[in-house]
Amino acid sequence: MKTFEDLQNVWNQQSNPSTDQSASDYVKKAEQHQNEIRSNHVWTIGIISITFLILVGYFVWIGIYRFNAFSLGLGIMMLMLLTRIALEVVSIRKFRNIKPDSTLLTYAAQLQQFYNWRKRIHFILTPIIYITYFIGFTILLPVFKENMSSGFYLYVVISGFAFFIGFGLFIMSRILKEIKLLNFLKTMK
Amino acid sequence: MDKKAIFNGLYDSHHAKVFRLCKGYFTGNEALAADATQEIFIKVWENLEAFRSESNISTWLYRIAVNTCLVFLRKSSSKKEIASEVLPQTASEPYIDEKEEQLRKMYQCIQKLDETGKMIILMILEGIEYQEISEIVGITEETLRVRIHRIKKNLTQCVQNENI
Repeated sequence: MKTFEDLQNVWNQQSNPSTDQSASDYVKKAEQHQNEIRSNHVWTIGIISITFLILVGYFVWIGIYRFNAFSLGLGIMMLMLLTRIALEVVSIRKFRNIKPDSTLLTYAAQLQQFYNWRKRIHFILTPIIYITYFIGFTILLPVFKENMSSGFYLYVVISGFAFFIGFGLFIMSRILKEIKLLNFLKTMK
Repeated sequence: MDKKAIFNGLYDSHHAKVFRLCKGYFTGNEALAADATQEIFIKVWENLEAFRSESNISTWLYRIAVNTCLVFLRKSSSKKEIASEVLPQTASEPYIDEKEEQLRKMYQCIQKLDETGKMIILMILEGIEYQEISEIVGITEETLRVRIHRIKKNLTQCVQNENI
Protein backbone atom coordinates (compact mmCIF):
# COMPACT_ATOMS: atom_id res chain seq x y z
CA MET A 1 0.00 0.00 0.00
CA LYS A 2 1.98 2.93 -1.28
CA THR A 3 -0.41 5.87 -1.18
CA PHE A 4 -3.24 7.10 0.97
CA GLU A 5 -5.62 6.21 -1.86
CA ASP A 6 -4.55 2.58 -1.47
CA LEU A 7 -5.42 2.79 2.23
CA GLN A 8 -8.76 4.36 1.31
CA ASN A 9 -9.47 1.47 -1.06
CA VAL A 10 -8.72 -1.07 1.63
CA TRP A 11 -10.99 0.81 4.04
CA ASN A 12 -13.81 1.00 1.49
CA GLN A 13 -13.71 -2.74 0.93
CA GLN A 14 -14.84 -3.43 4.49
CA SER A 15 -18.14 -5.24 4.63
CA ASN A 16 -21.07 -3.53 6.30
CA PRO A 17 -21.53 -4.46 9.92
CA SER A 18 -23.69 -7.47 10.47
CA THR A 19 -25.98 -6.45 13.24
CA ASP A 20 -29.10 -7.98 14.67
CA GLN A 21 -30.06 -4.64 16.19
CA SER A 22 -32.49 -2.36 14.44
CA ALA A 23 -33.26 1.30 15.16
CA SER A 24 -36.23 0.18 17.30
CA ASP A 25 -33.93 -2.03 19.37
CA TYR A 26 -31.78 1.01 20.14
CA VAL A 27 -34.86 3.02 21.13
CA LYS A 28 -35.92 0.21 23.50
CA LYS A 29 -32.40 0.11 24.97
CA ALA A 30 -32.43 3.92 25.40
CA GLU A 31 -35.72 3.72 27.30
CA GLN A 32 -34.37 0.86 29.42
CA HIS A 33 -31.25 2.94 30.13
CA GLN A 34 -33.36 5.88 31.31
CA ASN A 35 -35.38 3.59 33.57
CA GLU A 36 -32.19 2.15 35.04
CA ILE A 37 -30.81 5.63 35.74
CA ARG A 38 -34.07 6.64 37.44
CA SER A 39 -34.14 3.45 39.47
CA ASN A 40 -30.48 3.86 40.51
CA HIS A 41 -31.21 7.40 41.66
CA VAL A 42 -34.20 6.24 43.66
CA TRP A 43 -32.17 3.45 45.29
CA THR A 44 -29.19 5.70 46.04
CA ILE A 45 -31.34 8.45 47.50
CA GLY A 46 -33.39 5.84 49.36
CA ILE A 47 -30.38 4.15 50.96
CA ILE A 48 -28.72 7.43 51.90
CA SER A 49 -32.00 8.80 53.29
CA ILE A 50 -32.62 5.66 55.35
CA THR A 51 -29.05 5.77 56.72
CA PHE A 52 -29.50 9.40 57.61
CA LEU A 53 -32.92 8.81 59.22
CA ILE A 54 -31.48 5.96 61.30
CA LEU A 55 -28.75 8.27 62.54
CA VAL A 56 -31.32 11.00 63.26
CA GLY A 57 -33.45 8.41 65.05
CA TYR A 58 -30.54 7.41 67.27
CA PHE A 59 -29.77 11.03 67.91
CA VAL A 60 -33.30 11.82 69.03
CA TRP A 61 -33.70 8.57 70.99
CA ILE A 62 -30.49 8.99 72.96
CA GLY A 63 -31.10 12.62 73.80
CA ILE A 64 -30.54 15.41 71.34
CA TYR A 65 -30.37 17.97 74.10
CA ARG A 66 -27.50 16.38 75.94
CA PHE A 67 -24.07 17.29 74.66
CA ASN A 68 -22.01 14.21 75.24
CA ALA A 69 -19.66 11.90 73.39
CA PHE A 70 -22.55 10.14 71.71
CA SER A 71 -24.22 13.27 70.34
CA LEU A 72 -20.84 14.67 69.28
CA GLY A 73 -19.73 11.48 67.50
CA LEU A 74 -23.07 10.94 65.81
CA GLY A 75 -23.37 14.60 64.88
CA ILE A 76 -19.96 14.51 63.21
CA MET A 77 -20.89 11.38 61.24
CA MET A 78 -24.19 12.90 60.10
CA LEU A 79 -22.55 16.16 59.07
CA MET A 80 -19.89 14.35 57.04
CA LEU A 81 -22.52 12.17 55.38
CA LEU A 82 -24.54 15.25 54.40
CA THR A 83 -21.41 16.96 53.08
CA ARG A 84 -20.55 13.93 50.98
CA ILE A 85 -24.10 13.77 49.58
CA ALA A 86 -24.02 17.47 48.72
CA LEU A 87 -20.70 17.05 46.90
CA GLU A 88 -22.04 14.15 44.86
CA VAL A 89 -25.20 16.06 43.91
CA VAL A 90 -23.11 19.02 42.74
CA SER A 91 -20.82 16.61 40.87
CA ILE A 92 -23.71 14.93 39.06
CA ARG A 93 -25.17 18.32 38.07
CA LYS A 94 -21.81 19.55 36.76
CA PHE A 95 -21.34 16.38 34.73
CA ARG A 96 -24.82 16.63 33.23
CA ASN A 97 -23.95 20.11 31.94
CA ILE A 98 -21.25 18.63 29.72
CA LYS A 99 -23.11 18.14 26.47
CA PRO A 100 -22.14 15.08 24.39
CA ASP A 101 -22.86 17.05 21.19
CA SER A 102 -20.14 19.68 21.79
CA THR A 103 -17.17 19.70 19.43
CA LEU A 104 -14.52 17.11 20.26
CA LEU A 105 -12.03 19.63 21.65
CA THR A 106 -14.69 21.51 23.65
CA TYR A 107 -15.93 18.21 25.11
CA ALA A 108 -12.40 17.16 26.05
CA ALA A 109 -11.73 20.58 27.61
CA GLN A 110 -14.99 20.51 29.61
CA LEU A 111 -14.29 16.98 30.84
CA GLN A 112 -10.79 18.06 31.80
CA GLN A 113 -12.23 20.97 33.79
CA PHE A 114 -14.70 18.64 35.49
CA TYR A 115 -12.09 16.04 36.43
CA ASN A 116 -9.68 18.74 37.65
CA TRP A 117 -12.44 19.90 39.96
CA ARG A 118 -13.02 16.28 41.05
CA LYS A 119 -9.26 15.94 41.66
CA ARG A 120 -9.34 18.90 44.07
CA ILE A 121 -12.25 17.26 45.91
CA HIS A 122 -10.45 13.90 46.02
CA PHE A 123 -7.18 15.30 47.33
CA ILE A 124 -8.54 17.89 49.76
CA LEU A 125 -12.13 17.28 50.83
CA THR A 126 -12.50 13.51 50.55
CA PRO A 127 -9.70 12.66 53.01
CA ILE A 128 -10.99 15.31 55.44
CA ILE A 129 -14.56 14.00 55.21
CA TYR A 130 -13.51 10.36 55.44
CA ILE A 131 -11.17 10.79 58.37
CA THR A 132 -13.57 13.11 60.22
CA TYR A 133 -16.38 10.55 59.72
CA PHE A 134 -14.24 7.92 61.40
CA ILE A 135 -13.18 10.28 64.14
CA GLY A 136 -16.92 10.59 64.81
CA PHE A 137 -17.19 6.81 64.87
CA THR A 138 -14.21 6.53 67.21
CA ILE A 139 -15.80 9.07 69.60
CA LEU A 140 -18.83 6.76 69.76
CA LEU A 141 -16.78 3.72 70.77
CA PRO A 142 -16.65 4.40 74.54
CA VAL A 143 -20.45 4.81 74.47
CA PHE A 144 -20.81 1.49 72.61
CA LYS A 145 -18.46 -0.18 75.08
CA GLU A 146 -20.57 0.98 77.99
CA ASN A 147 -23.83 -0.17 76.44
CA MET A 148 -22.96 -3.33 74.48
CA SER A 149 -21.75 -6.79 75.35
CA SER A 150 -17.98 -7.23 74.95
CA GLY A 151 -18.48 -9.62 72.02
CA PHE A 152 -20.73 -7.27 70.11
CA TYR A 153 -18.49 -4.30 70.93
CA LEU A 154 -15.49 -6.21 69.52
CA TYR A 155 -17.51 -6.95 66.37
CA VAL A 156 -18.37 -3.25 66.00
CA VAL A 157 -14.72 -2.19 66.43
CA ILE A 158 -13.29 -4.79 64.02
CA SER A 159 -15.97 -4.34 61.35
CA GLY A 160 -15.80 -0.57 61.70
CA PHE A 161 -12.07 -0.38 61.12
CA ALA A 162 -12.12 -3.10 58.46
CA PHE A 163 -14.72 -1.03 56.64
CA PHE A 164 -12.55 2.07 57.09
CA ILE A 165 -9.64 0.34 55.36
CA GLY A 166 -11.64 -1.59 52.76
CA PHE A 167 -13.87 1.27 51.69
CA GLY A 168 -10.87 3.58 51.72
CA LEU A 169 -9.10 1.30 49.23
CA PHE A 170 -12.23 1.22 47.08
CA ILE A 171 -12.43 5.01 47.05
CA MET A 172 -8.71 5.20 46.17
CA SER A 173 -9.18 2.88 43.18
CA ARG A 174 -12.03 5.08 41.90
CA ILE A 175 -9.90 8.20 42.35
CA LEU A 176 -6.97 6.63 40.47
CA LYS A 177 -9.30 5.77 37.58
CA GLU A 178 -10.48 9.38 37.34
CA ILE A 179 -6.91 10.68 37.47
CA LYS A 180 -5.96 8.28 34.66
CA LEU A 181 -8.82 9.68 32.58
CA LEU A 182 -7.75 13.24 33.40
CA ASN A 183 -4.16 12.53 32.32
CA PHE A 184 -5.48 11.07 29.08
CA LEU A 185 -7.65 14.14 28.44
CA LYS A 186 -4.63 16.42 28.98
CA THR A 187 -3.03 14.85 25.88
CA MET A 188 -5.85 16.13 23.65
CA LYS A 189 -4.91 18.99 21.36
CA MET B 1 -41.28 14.81 11.32
CA ASP B 2 -41.65 12.84 14.55
CA LYS B 3 -38.73 11.82 16.74
CA LYS B 4 -38.84 8.16 15.80
CA ALA B 5 -38.84 8.92 12.08
CA ILE B 6 -35.84 11.24 12.43
CA PHE B 7 -34.00 8.64 14.50
CA ASN B 8 -34.75 5.89 11.99
CA GLY B 9 -33.41 8.12 9.23
CA LEU B 10 -30.22 8.79 11.17
CA TYR B 11 -29.81 5.08 11.89
CA ASP B 12 -30.28 4.07 8.25
CA SER B 13 -27.88 6.73 6.93
CA HIS B 14 -25.16 6.58 9.56
CA HIS B 15 -25.15 3.30 11.49
CA ALA B 16 -22.61 1.56 9.26
CA LYS B 17 -20.28 4.58 9.21
CA VAL B 18 -20.48 5.04 12.97
CA PHE B 19 -19.76 1.34 13.50
CA ARG B 20 -16.70 1.45 11.21
CA LEU B 21 -15.48 4.63 12.90
CA CYS B 22 -15.76 2.93 16.30
CA LYS B 23 -14.13 -0.23 14.97
CA GLY B 24 -11.22 1.83 13.66
CA TYR B 25 -10.90 3.66 16.98
CA PHE B 26 -10.89 0.38 18.92
CA THR B 27 -8.25 -1.28 16.74
CA GLY B 28 -10.68 -3.52 14.89
CA ASN B 29 -12.41 -4.86 18.01
CA GLU B 30 -15.95 -5.51 16.77
CA ALA B 31 -17.43 -6.24 20.18
CA LEU B 32 -16.24 -2.90 21.57
CA ALA B 33 -17.34 -1.15 18.39
CA ALA B 34 -20.83 -2.66 18.72
CA ASP B 35 -21.09 -1.61 22.40
CA ALA B 36 -19.87 1.91 21.63
CA THR B 37 -22.23 2.20 18.63
CA GLN B 38 -25.11 1.19 20.85
CA GLU B 39 -24.15 3.81 23.45
CA ILE B 40 -23.85 6.44 20.70
CA PHE B 41 -27.31 5.78 19.29
CA ILE B 42 -28.78 5.68 22.80
CA LYS B 43 -27.31 9.18 23.39
CA VAL B 44 -28.63 10.31 19.99
CA TRP B 45 -32.14 9.20 20.98
CA GLU B 46 -31.87 10.77 24.45
CA ASN B 47 -30.62 14.11 23.11
CA LEU B 48 -32.60 14.31 19.87
CA GLU B 49 -35.30 16.56 21.30
CA ALA B 50 -32.61 19.03 22.42
CA PHE B 51 -31.16 19.30 18.89
CA ARG B 52 -31.61 22.90 17.82
CA SER B 53 -30.41 22.81 14.21
CA GLU B 54 -27.38 24.94 15.10
CA SER B 55 -25.47 22.50 12.93
CA ASN B 56 -26.24 19.85 10.39
CA ILE B 57 -27.85 16.82 12.10
CA SER B 58 -25.11 14.52 10.80
CA THR B 59 -22.45 16.86 12.30
CA TRP B 60 -24.35 16.69 15.58
CA LEU B 61 -24.47 12.88 15.43
CA TYR B 62 -20.76 12.54 14.65
CA ARG B 63 -19.89 14.86 17.54
CA ILE B 64 -21.75 12.48 19.85
CA ALA B 65 -19.97 9.54 18.17
CA VAL B 66 -16.42 10.88 18.57
CA ASN B 67 -17.04 12.15 22.11
CA THR B 68 -18.48 8.80 23.15
CA CYS B 69 -15.57 6.83 21.66
CA LEU B 70 -13.08 9.19 23.31
CA VAL B 71 -14.01 8.22 26.85
CA PHE B 72 -15.71 4.87 26.24
CA LEU B 73 -12.80 2.63 27.23
CA ARG B 74 -11.63 4.75 30.08
CA LYS B 75 -15.02 5.14 31.71
CA SER B 76 -16.16 1.57 31.22
CA SER B 77 -15.17 -1.43 33.31
CA SER B 78 -11.59 -2.68 33.50
CA LYS B 79 -12.73 -5.81 31.64
CA LYS B 80 -13.35 -3.72 28.55
CA GLU B 81 -10.00 -1.95 28.99
CA ILE B 82 -8.16 -5.26 29.06
CA ALA B 83 -10.07 -6.47 26.01
CA SER B 84 -9.00 -3.44 24.02
CA GLU B 85 -5.33 -4.13 24.73
CA VAL B 86 -5.54 -7.64 23.35
CA LEU B 87 -5.39 -6.87 19.66
CA PRO B 88 -6.49 -9.53 17.21
CA GLN B 89 -3.15 -11.03 16.25
CA THR B 90 -4.06 -12.33 12.86
CA ALA B 91 -0.59 -12.09 11.34
CA SER B 92 0.43 -15.43 12.79
CA GLU B 93 -2.60 -17.24 11.37
CA PRO B 94 -2.00 -19.01 8.08
CA TYR B 95 -4.09 -18.33 4.98
CA ILE B 96 -5.16 -14.92 6.33
CA ASP B 97 -7.07 -12.78 3.86
CA GLU B 98 -4.70 -10.15 2.44
CA LYS B 99 -7.26 -7.39 2.73
CA GLU B 100 -7.89 -8.28 6.40
CA GLU B 101 -4.15 -8.14 7.04
CA GLN B 102 -3.88 -4.74 5.36
CA LEU B 103 -6.80 -3.52 7.44
CA ARG B 104 -5.16 -4.82 10.61
CA LYS B 105 -2.00 -2.87 9.79
CA MET B 106 -4.08 0.23 9.20
CA TYR B 107 -5.78 -0.19 12.58
CA GLN B 108 -2.42 -0.55 14.31
CA CYS B 109 -1.00 2.51 12.54
CA ILE B 110 -4.10 4.56 13.35
CA GLN B 111 -3.49 3.74 17.04
CA LYS B 112 -0.08 5.44 16.80
CA LEU B 113 -1.70 8.79 16.01
CA ASP B 114 -2.74 11.20 18.77
CA GLU B 115 -6.41 11.07 19.82
CA THR B 116 -7.55 13.99 17.66
CA GLY B 117 -5.56 12.63 14.72
CA LYS B 118 -7.27 9.25 15.09
CA MET B 119 -10.72 10.80 14.98
CA ILE B 120 -9.82 13.00 12.01
CA ILE B 121 -8.40 10.18 9.89
CA LEU B 122 -11.31 7.86 10.70
CA MET B 123 -13.75 10.53 9.54
CA ILE B 124 -11.67 11.12 6.38
CA LEU B 125 -11.73 7.40 5.65
CA GLU B 126 -15.51 7.41 6.10
CA GLY B 127 -15.79 10.15 3.47
CA ILE B 128 -16.96 12.96 5.75
CA GLU B 129 -16.38 16.39 4.23
CA TYR B 130 -13.56 18.58 5.55
CA GLN B 131 -15.90 21.37 6.61
CA GLU B 132 -18.01 18.92 8.58
CA ILE B 133 -14.94 17.39 10.23
CA SER B 134 -13.73 20.86 11.26
CA GLU B 135 -17.16 21.49 12.87
CA ILE B 136 -17.08 18.12 14.61
CA VAL B 137 -13.57 18.53 15.98
CA GLY B 138 -13.75 22.26 16.69
CA ILE B 139 -10.83 23.57 14.63
CA THR B 140 -10.73 25.81 11.56
CA GLU B 141 -10.74 24.22 8.15
CA GLU B 142 -7.27 25.65 7.43
CA THR B 143 -5.84 24.03 10.56
CA LEU B 144 -7.63 20.83 9.68
CA ARG B 145 -6.13 20.69 6.18
CA VAL B 146 -2.62 21.07 7.58
CA ARG B 147 -3.26 18.32 10.11
CA ILE B 148 -4.80 16.03 7.51
CA HIS B 149 -1.76 16.37 5.24
CA ARG B 150 0.51 15.40 8.15
CA ILE B 151 -1.75 12.56 9.33
CA LYS B 152 -2.08 11.02 5.86
CA LYS B 153 1.69 11.14 5.42
CA ASN B 154 2.35 9.54 8.83
CA LEU B 155 -0.27 6.88 8.33
CA THR B 156 0.93 5.92 4.85
CA GLN B 157 4.56 5.75 6.00
CA CYS B 158 3.60 3.66 9.01
CA VAL B 159 1.66 1.14 6.91
CA GLN B 160 4.53 0.96 4.40
CA ASN B 161 6.98 0.26 7.24
CA GLU B 162 4.70 -2.48 8.49
CA ASN B 163 4.94 -4.06 5.05
CA ILE B 164 8.75 -4.30 5.12
